[in-house]
Order: sequence, then structure tokens, then C-alpha cells
Amino acid sequence: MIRAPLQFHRPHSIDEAVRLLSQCAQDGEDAKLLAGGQSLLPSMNLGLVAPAHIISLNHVTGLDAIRRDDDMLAIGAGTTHRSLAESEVVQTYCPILSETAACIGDVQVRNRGTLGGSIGHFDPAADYPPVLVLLDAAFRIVGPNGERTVAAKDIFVDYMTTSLSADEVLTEIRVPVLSPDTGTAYVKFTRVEGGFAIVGVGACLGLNSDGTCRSIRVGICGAAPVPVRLTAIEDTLKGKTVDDTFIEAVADAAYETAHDPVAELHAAADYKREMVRVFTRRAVKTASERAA
Amino acid sequence: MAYIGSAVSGILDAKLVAGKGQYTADVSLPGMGYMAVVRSPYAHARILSIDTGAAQQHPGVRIVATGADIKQWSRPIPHTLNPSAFGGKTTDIYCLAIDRVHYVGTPVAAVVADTRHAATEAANLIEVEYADLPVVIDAERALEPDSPLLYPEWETNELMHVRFQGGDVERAFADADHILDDTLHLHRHTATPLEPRAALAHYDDRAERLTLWVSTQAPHPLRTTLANTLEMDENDIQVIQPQVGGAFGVKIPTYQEDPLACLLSKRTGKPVKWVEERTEHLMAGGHAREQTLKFSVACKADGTVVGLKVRIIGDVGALAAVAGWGMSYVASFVVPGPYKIPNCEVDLSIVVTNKGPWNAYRGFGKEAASFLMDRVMDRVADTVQMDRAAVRLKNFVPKDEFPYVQISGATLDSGDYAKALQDVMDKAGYQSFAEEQQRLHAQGRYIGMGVGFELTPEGGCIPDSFIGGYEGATVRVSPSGQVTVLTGVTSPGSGNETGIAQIVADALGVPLSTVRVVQGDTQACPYGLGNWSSRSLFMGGSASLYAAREVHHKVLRVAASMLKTAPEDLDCEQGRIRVKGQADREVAFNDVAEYVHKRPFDHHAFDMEPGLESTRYFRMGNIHHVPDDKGRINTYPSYPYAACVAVVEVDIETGVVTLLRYVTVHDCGTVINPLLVEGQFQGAVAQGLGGLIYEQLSYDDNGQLQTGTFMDYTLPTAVEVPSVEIHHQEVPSPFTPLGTKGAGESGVSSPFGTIVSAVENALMPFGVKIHDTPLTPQRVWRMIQAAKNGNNGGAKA
Repeated sequence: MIRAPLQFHRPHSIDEAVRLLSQCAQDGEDAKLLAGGQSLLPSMNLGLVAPAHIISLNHVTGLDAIRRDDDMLAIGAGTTHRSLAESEVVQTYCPILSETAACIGDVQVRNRGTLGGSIGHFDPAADYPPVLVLLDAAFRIVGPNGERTVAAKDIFVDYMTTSLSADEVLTEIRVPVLSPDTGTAYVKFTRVEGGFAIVGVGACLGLNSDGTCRSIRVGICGAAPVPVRLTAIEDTLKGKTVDDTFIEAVADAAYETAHDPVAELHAAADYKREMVRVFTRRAVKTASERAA
Repeated sequence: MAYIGSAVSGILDAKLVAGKGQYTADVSLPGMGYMAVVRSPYAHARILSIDTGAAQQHPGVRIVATGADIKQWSRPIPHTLNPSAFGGKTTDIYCLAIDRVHYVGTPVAAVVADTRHAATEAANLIEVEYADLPVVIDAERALEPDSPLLYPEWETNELMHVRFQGGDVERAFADADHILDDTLHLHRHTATPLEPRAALAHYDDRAERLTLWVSTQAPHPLRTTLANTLEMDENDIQVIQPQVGGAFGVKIPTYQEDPLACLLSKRTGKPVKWVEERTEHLMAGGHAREQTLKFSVACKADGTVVGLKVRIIGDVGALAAVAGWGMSYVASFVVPGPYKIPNCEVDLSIVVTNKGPWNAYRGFGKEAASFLMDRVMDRVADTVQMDRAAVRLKNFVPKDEFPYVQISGATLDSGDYAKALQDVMDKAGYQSFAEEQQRLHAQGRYIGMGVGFELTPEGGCIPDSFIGGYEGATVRVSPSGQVTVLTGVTSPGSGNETGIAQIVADALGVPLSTVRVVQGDTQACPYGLGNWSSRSLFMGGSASLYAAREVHHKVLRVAASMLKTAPEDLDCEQGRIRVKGQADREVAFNDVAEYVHKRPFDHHAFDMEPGLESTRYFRMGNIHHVPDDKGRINTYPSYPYAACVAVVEVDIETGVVTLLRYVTVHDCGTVINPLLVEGQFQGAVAQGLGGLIYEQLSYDDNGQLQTGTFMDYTLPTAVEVPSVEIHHQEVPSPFTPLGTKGAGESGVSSPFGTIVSAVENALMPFGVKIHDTPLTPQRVWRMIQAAKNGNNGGAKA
């Protein structure tokens, strides 16, 4: 049950949404953007948040567009998980994002929940952030002073905190077009199908013609309060033969990085850290199989 | 026998699946208000003061009530089962807490307002001042002399102590080849029906009558209890049960919120609606299962169990009026289950702690007994190095020894346990599994097969309570030949109305489509005890059969007169009454019905009592409430059972257990409708699996519930639950007219022992031994790590 009265706004443009946000900020009233509502509504139902204003982005046109822009994919922040999972363009040029979207929640959640909504909410167990971090995604943000672009490494600041300010709207996420021979995988550890990730690991692996590593990128959620990218191994493993030793080296690096995971009721820190190792191993192995 | 035994689709299915059912929350009345309940945030505290001033002033608020008001306006709620009747302690439970709270979620105040929203807002404005009291959340700690006391006047936290004993246990132990000890822990979890609890109370102050629409399993006992609590005449109360979206036991008793909504309707003169929130359900809707099961078993080298000592400590949370503590009693009553172990003793302590009160949950303690006995048999098998199934076969009560009286007085009615187990082993490929297991092990996979057996006593009947072994039903035929069956049993969505309609349609020889079953209205239905303990079809169905037979007898008398023959020469099928062997001599059932109603003074019906209606009661013939020479009574009339085999895969890197197959041979006597039985069994296994691996009500040391939403209280999804392979073994009950036994609850118990056995089997290379539940991935992973480090005794998680 939504426990507090609120005003519901339905802007038709980003500018109008930004104006409403600014107005609420000026009036000192708490406002929340509605972009799918799959986390916001449960939080309101539980009384964890009680915004005085809800500003729905459902009627902003063009916010769910997916287009190729040179060597980038430009994805509207209002794109649903389902659209991302089923988009041929995304499946072709950035398959890891489709794979990630397809394992979020259940069909009902994927039909409603959006990429931008998930990023804005930034649950530490969310699946997109580790993948966007490893992809070096760029985030287009509109505020009262115009537009700015933020890099993935700068947007996810701390536990449930992004660098978006209260009067800004995330409009677009740009990810690189991956070369067709890149092997990618996103694997997650959950208690039940569609559950929140205890650990989620994305891996992107490019191979040279001789089978050695051209590039490797790994992003992890569950290892720390914010997504972790294994930058340390990106250079050191370049040119190395991709075999079990290689995979184990990535898994060990992940384990070392995950020294302070957020403990959960059924996943203590030491167990979670070990699962980071296991799922990193699985992600890299799958990516290497797909890279052939 | 056109319908009995056939897989008829549920007569309400299409309606319910299309969303056309009407549940309590769907019922609305003009002018109704909404109730919100203020609950204690502390596990143990004294209430110093309650300031309701701001709430009273809040817009839309109609009434605010505290424990002090409730004590003036009503009496304590009668216990569904009073522990004092079993030699235990007791306490008065009012609709709201009086002076003291014993668990997080204890109702302490209530508000009714014009809207649900206003009620919730006002509830937040009520200021309760508490003085903390020391908390005890562990039952063994609660038994220590210096433990904090929940009810200081008891001078102990032991609600009840029970002892069952038979044979010469000490001698059996002295003569044994092996003696093994072990301690098991079952964890706390509960039923989570899709539809939470809900009530709509309407006190009509002109008629001075109360009507309560409520999501309940037992409308008539609820009415009796309400009359007592509210100090009203039973005649002035009508309880109506709309459709129920799942119950699983938690909706059997009278909750505090039921009379509370009624009282507040009476005080305000307007209807009051209350719909429980999921968080309220998880903290205060009633818990189950949490028990420590210690055993010491004596056996011979050939696997024969000669003696068994069991100690059960039931952690039943705080005491409520809802009788959940009875589950621990039943756990001890069922030991040693399907096994012939004459030298046996069970010692039970039922202990209160500062956690949510227990409430009935499918299994009702039988799952604890089943888990215990499966573990006993597995340990014996491993010790004497015999096959785990072979040890069970060696110790079963033989099929020619029924009725068999266990040490508690439990009188097992009928069955062929050995055949059920042998059959399920055949169906599951038990003998050839080891080959497959080794083949997959060579690929690095850990597959295991486990065997288990659940005995599920049904139709519980406790002296001096509304937990009784009888049922009533009315069968009424209208002038147009339409059949109405009014039953005292109800359906929580399990489909017994279809089974009852099948029985009545067959008894009358009419099409199923002409039979309508009416349940859950105290104004319409004969007094009955409702739906629980799998009793609806085998007791309610038997009463319906008796009533239908009586009506049928009258129909045949009239038809025989019309057709100038004797009643015994007639056949009645699909509404046509024919002279046997003479297709052209027939009369329609409908025409006979019309004749009886319109021409009672004409010659075919002249010498007969008018009307085509009968109300009959059925009672089980094998309940014994007069103690035998050993002081035993039998409180269950029906003992269905299931032999099960599970196949699991364990991911040894993560500890994740995946149930690949679950195969059962299940005996619930005569099967009225295999679809109903299989649907119930499938759901029961899902709940058993959920309980074993996923679901947990977890408390911190201060008694705060850590799993108050479905974010934290994990339920399995359809992906985690395999399709159960169900086979029927029909050994008819000698004590019911159709040979039916209880069906519905079975399947929830066996997953504990069967899957645990399968996981141990999968992890044989590590020698892991399992003692504790739930089998979360973390716990299994830790056990594997511990075993790798040379400790296979199981690890705490």
C-alpha cells in the first residue's frame, strides 16, 4: 500500500521533467522519477520512501530508442529490460547487455523495469552496473544547466549513491559496439531464478588470431558496495594464452579484489568472496568459449 | 461409479483462473472503515503507556483502541487447544496485548479510519512507551534456570512436558549391537498463502447482528469462539468464508484480528475491513517447525532397530490462542512413525521464546517426526553398512499387523509400507542409480539419490476441542432435480468441492453439472469443523455420501412405484432411472424430484416423508478417547503415507542443491480424483522443498525478525520445483465408507528426509553428514569445506 499522499506528474519531455525536478528541489519537496517503478514502488509500499512527488518518465517520447551511432550503441534510459534482452541490434553489437537484461527478475519485471531506472536506483545487487563499468559506458545526463556526459567509473559513487544530482535526468546510455569475435558472458549467483544477484560477473574477452588474449575486461557486483572492475589484470594478461591458468589468474584477481563484500543473511563475507572467485571463473570460461 | 476415481477438472477452476473468484478483500460494504494494527517493535517489553491523542485527532479516524479498552469490551479469546488441558501452562490472550509484549509484531493498538491510508497514518501517530525486558530467543537457553521468563507466573519457560514410553527401552539398549546418538535441528519457517489473512466485520446495530466475512478454514468454530470472546449469542453471528486463496493451516484458528475487527465494528456501528500485509504475516501470522530433535538408537548388526530414545525441544515462540504449539506435541505423538520399534520413549519439552507464536502449518509436526525417523534409518544403515532402503524395509510395520498401535496410542489403520517403498524404488531406478552416479562423477558432477518415507496421520481429533473426528453435510434436491450439497467442511482453494460433488453425483446417479456444493456459511451449512488435517474429503465427503444415499433411497422408492418394480431393480445414471435390463422402462430423476415436491399426497409418494433432503453426520470409527490399559488414546483416524525417492545435484563449488527428480508412491486409500490428489501432493513437495532449502524466519539476538519481506524470505519458484512423479497405491481405509484416507497434506514431510539423504549420497566422496536445516548453499558449501578439512560432522552456517 502506498502510505502517503503524493502528486503525480506526467511530463512529455525531458526539459519538462527537469523543470519539475528543479521546482520540487526549490520547494524543498522530495521528488522521485518513475522509470518502471520495479524498485521504487516496493520501497514506497514498504514505507521506506515516501516522495511527495512522482514524476513519471513513461510519456517522454523517444526515451526508449536503441540506435547504432558509429562505433557506439545509444540506448534510451527508458528502454525496458525486455526490449534490451530482445533487441537484435543489442544482441548483435553488445550481446552481454542483452544477456544481462534477460536475467533480471521475471517477465513482469522485465516488461516494466528500465535500464535508466535501474542505474538511477543503483541497488548494489543490480546486474547492469558491473557490465556498464567493464564496457566503459557513457551516461548522458540532462539538468537545469544543460547536458553533461559522465563515464561509468564516475557514475557509481557509493552504496546506492550515483553522481546524478536531484534535479538531473539520465537520458541515454552509450556502450561500445563490440567486434564480432569478442566473447562475452554475464553470470549471476542467485538463490532462485530471477532473484537478486549475490554475485554477478560480466566478462569480455577478445582473442588474437593465435588464441592469446587481445583484451580482457571483467566487472563484478557483490564484491564490494559498488561494482568492481578488474583493471589490474587488463594489461598483465594481454598476450597470454587463454587456458585454465589464465582463467584461474582472473578468478584469483577477483578474489583478491573482493576483500570487503557486503555480507548478507545467507552469504557471509568469506563465502561471498569465494563465490566471486567461482563466478568469475565461470564468466571468463564462458566468454572464452564464445570468443572462438 | 461414473465420477469417483476419474480426473474431473475442478468445478471452480475456470472461474478462479479467470480471476472471477471473490475473496474477502473483494467484499465491500457502504460506509466501511479500514483497520490498521500497531505492533510491538520489541521482542520483550512492558508497556508503560500508550498515547493515542494525536491518532484520535487525525482526519478520518473513527476509533482507536488499546489493550485497556479491549479488556473492558471483551473476554480472552478461547484457545483453539488450551495447553492446560494437556497438563501445560496457559495464559489469557486478548485481541490486543495487555501490559506486556512477548514478540516483535505483538498487536498493541488498533485504529479504524475512513480509508486504509488514514488508518495507517494514524497508527503511526500512536506513541507507545515500552520498558525493555531481557530477551530469550533460543529454546535450550530458555530452559536454563537463570533464563529470562516470558510469563513470570509460570516460573519456567516450559509450556508443557510430554512423555510417551513403551516396552523395555533400557534392556533393548543393553542388548544392542550398536548405539548411535545424533542431534538434528529443524529451522523456523511458515506458510505463505498468496492471499494473506483478511476480515470484513459488519455489526448491524439495528438488527443487533454481526456478520463476518473472513479468510478462514473453520467458519463454525470461529463463530462459536467469537460469541464467547464478544459475549454475544451465537445466533446473532454469521460467519461467511468467501473464496480463500490458500491457507495451509494458518487460517484454522481464531486470530486476534478477527474479534478485534468485530469489536471495532460494534463500537463504531459501521463495517470494518482488515487485510493483512505480507510483513505482518511473516512476523505475526504464525510460525512453525523450529525444533531440536535428539535421538539415541539401538540396533542389531542386521539393521533391526530394537530401541529408540527421542528428546524433542519445540521452540514455539510466544504463546498465542492459535494452538501452534500442538505441532510439537504431534511430532512426538507420531514417533516412531511407520516403524515397528516397541521399545521406544519420547520426551518432549515445548518451550516459549520471544519469537512469533507458532500456528498450524501443513505438516503439523509430522514433518519433524518424518525427518527424525528418516535420519534414524539412514544412520542405522550407514552404521551397519546396509542399503538405506533395506533398513527401512526391515523395520516397517508389516502389512498384516494393522491396526498397529504405536507407543503414543497412534493406531495405524492400514497400509503396505514395504510395497510402497519397493515400488517407488522400481519407478525411480534405485538399483541402477549407482552406475549413473559414478559415470557423472567421472565428469565432475555430484548426483545423489535419497530415499524417505512419510507417515502423515490425518483427521486429527482432540478431546474437548473443535479439532474433531466428525463432519456433517446436507444433500438437497430441488423440484427441478438440481442438487445442493451443504457441507461443514470448507475449501481453501484445494478443490474438495469437486471431489464431494463427484461422490454425490455418483451416489444419486446424476450429472456432475447438476450438483452445486455450498461451503463456508454458518447460516446455510450444517455445523462442521472446517478444513484442516486433510479431513474435508474423507470426512466431509463421507457425510455427503451418507446424506446422498438417504435421498437416493427416497428417489428410488418413488421411481420404483412409478415403474411398478422394486427399488433394488433400478439403476440410476446421468439422471435416468431405468429398470435393470429394460432400456424402455425409465423415468427421469428430475421428474421424480418434481413429483416428490408437488405431489406428496399422490400415490407414488403418499407413504413417505415429504421432501428430498437429508442431513447426516459421519464420525470416524477408530478414534479412541478413553485411555487403554497403558493410558493411550488415539487422536488420528487415518494414516496415509508416501514412499519417496529424490535425485539431487550438488554444485560443490557453490553448495547449491538442485532437485532433479522426486518420485513417490502415495497411499491415501481410494482416490476420488487423481487430479486433486496429485495437485495437492505436487504443491506439498514444493512447500517441503521450500522449507528445506529456501525459506527461513531468522531472528537476531534481540529478537528482531530479519526476514520480514519476500526480499529476504526466499520462496522457491516454478524453476526450482521439478514436476513430481506421483504413483498411487490404493490400500482402502477400513474406517471410511469409500475407503478414502486423508489427502492434501501428504508430500510436505518427506522432502526433509528424502532430499537430505540424497544430498548426503551426492556428497559421499566427502563423507558429509547433515544435521541441520535449511540446506542453504552457504551451509552446504561450509559442510563440504569442513569435510575437506577432515571434519564431516557438519558445520553451522
